Amino acid sequence: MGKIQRNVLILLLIATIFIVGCSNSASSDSDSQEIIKIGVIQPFSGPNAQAGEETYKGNELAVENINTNGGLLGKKVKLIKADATNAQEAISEAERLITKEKVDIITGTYVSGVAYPATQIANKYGVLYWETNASAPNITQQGFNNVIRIGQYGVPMATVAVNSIKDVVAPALGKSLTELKVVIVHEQSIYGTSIGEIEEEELKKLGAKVKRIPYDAASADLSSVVNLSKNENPDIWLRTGYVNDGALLFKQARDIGWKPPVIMGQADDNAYLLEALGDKGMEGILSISYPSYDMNEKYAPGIKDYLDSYRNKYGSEPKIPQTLVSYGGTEILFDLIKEAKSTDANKIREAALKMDVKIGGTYPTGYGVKLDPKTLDNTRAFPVLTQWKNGEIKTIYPPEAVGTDAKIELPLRGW
Amino acid sequence: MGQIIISGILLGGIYAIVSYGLTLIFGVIRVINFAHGSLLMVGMFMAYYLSKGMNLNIYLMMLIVVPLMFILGVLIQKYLLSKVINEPDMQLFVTFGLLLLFENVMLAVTKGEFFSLDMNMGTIPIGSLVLDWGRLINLVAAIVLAILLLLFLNHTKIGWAIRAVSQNRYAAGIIGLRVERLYILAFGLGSACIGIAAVLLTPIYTIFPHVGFNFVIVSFAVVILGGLGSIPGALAGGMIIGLLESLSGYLIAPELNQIVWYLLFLLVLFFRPAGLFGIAGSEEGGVK
Repeated sequence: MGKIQRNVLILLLIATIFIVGCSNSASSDSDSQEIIKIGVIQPFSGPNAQAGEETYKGNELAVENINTNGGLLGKKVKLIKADATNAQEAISEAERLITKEKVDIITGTYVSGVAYPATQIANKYGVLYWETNASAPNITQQGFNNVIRIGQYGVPMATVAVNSIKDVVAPALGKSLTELKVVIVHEQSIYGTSIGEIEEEELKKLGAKVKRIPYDAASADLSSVVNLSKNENPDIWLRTGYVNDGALLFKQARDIGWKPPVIMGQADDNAYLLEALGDKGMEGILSISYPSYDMNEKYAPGIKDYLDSYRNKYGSEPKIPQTLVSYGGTEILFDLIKEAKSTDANKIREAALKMDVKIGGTYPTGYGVKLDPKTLDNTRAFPVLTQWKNGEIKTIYPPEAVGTDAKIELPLRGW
Repeated sequence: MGQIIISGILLGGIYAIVSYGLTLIFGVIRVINFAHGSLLMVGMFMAYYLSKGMNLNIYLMMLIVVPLMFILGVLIQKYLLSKVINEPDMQLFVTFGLLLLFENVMLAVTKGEFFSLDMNMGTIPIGSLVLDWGRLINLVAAIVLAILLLLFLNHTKIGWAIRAVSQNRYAAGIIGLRVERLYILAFGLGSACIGIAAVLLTPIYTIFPHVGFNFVIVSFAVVILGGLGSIPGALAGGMIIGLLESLSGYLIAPELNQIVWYLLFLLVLFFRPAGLFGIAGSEEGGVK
């Protein structure tokens, strides 16, 4: 091939790329008039791909629901997927959603580490970032007025732990709060520490004796945590951590034959712990959990419809509770768009700040809505208390949420 | 307090057994094997899936996992590391590449989920103290394996050859030893040792693609503390670090349980780079 021919070929290639690129962006401009576009940032690849996909299904079901009922503000809603597994991808995908896809709103995110950088890009362009799932405290501590967290985070999670100790756990043990001794163990990053500190403070206010022990979740041995806890002879062992450290902690407690009267953990209602400890090992362990699928329809209206539409569309039972959380969160967003008659971040924030929904009785998650005016966190995104019974999760608190005849059974009796 | 010392010794057994493969490979081939932790992880997944699939006791999986890991090690040395045998930097990149490969393949296969065997093997009470079977079996295995490796290295012809190659591979070549073959054998053996560790740890830990990371830094510390290439050193180093971690976790704070042995590790690097049990100058040495 001669030099000139080669140069012509390169020019043609460049021109082709340019033309394709232009036509692409033109098409995405033209249809933004009749539809509302919502970008969904999730890890659709990598280690959290399945969880990202499952969380996305919640958005998808909510959108199908609204579109079959006439859409929003007379327009159809369309979701645009963006795959981000780390900070760099979160930044470039958020940029793409806003500048190229021209989305009206961004929502997400299963992984807090993806949400944090993505919210910064959304803030740069003044686009609403509607956080339904990520729970890290730093996401809403950046002073951004376009980032609203409607899902649960550390404060309500710790509050429900303390409330359920006060309302059901202490009575089940037949002890008053001032007689209670609680050992709080938590992994030492911001996730465990922020929750552990609130739990300690609130329990001390109620008069309970509290000792708090942070630990390293990547440690190959947690026997010192177990032995220090055992020395205190607590009534309640309250834990915040991840899966692998949880399994190790429980197994090492079992290995020295120590089971306190109450074990309560944040999100310890997962199948991985069940696999590690078995039905017998997990029996009776309490968990502060995402809204569970056995909740009462009165407390969580629409949960049956949600379950039916999930089964119809995907042909299985929901795999993780986060799907319901993103579904419920998306419904709240649609209500606010109707209220604000706009997808503008400022108008939605104003409508959201005015919103005052009590816990239970409105959304399929049972969440109420009342934003903290400073952080724009939803202070009423309350989880529920569940207990392991014969390898299954049963909601047992708050009483309005209980959809079965399950009752709290304490104290625990050995592994 | 007695319970803490028991925990420390049992933990020491775990740290020792995960370090034999590393010290053997480093001592002979002189390659820092970044893929050490991910090989351990691969072995744990093998043991888990085989035991679940065949519905057989996990410890029987030793018969399958160890030969498979030996073959994997042989393949790595024969087809990858031997191609860059004179380029230490490239060897590092190769083992680092293997780490990325193994972890990401397992991420794709498992979708990042966690797996555990629900094996409650029970405990042995001794007065007011308690030992658990899983860690006790591991400790006994760690001691037995150390003795077997020492016997092999010191009392068999192949063992002598491996030691000769590790001490001076040029001289070993001149006297007619087939250096490349011995390297392949050594990597296979190191990898088989990792396989043994993997089977023993599977009932104790939750398995996920990054599980090796929890052991890799500590096993490097064990190997350097005990003396590079030294099997008894790895056993002693494991015990020292296990005890230090357990005691400082209990007496200082669980969140600071690694501080003390990190400090010791730094001091050893400064003042006795050959390791506590190495002969001064043996950082240039070989396997013992």
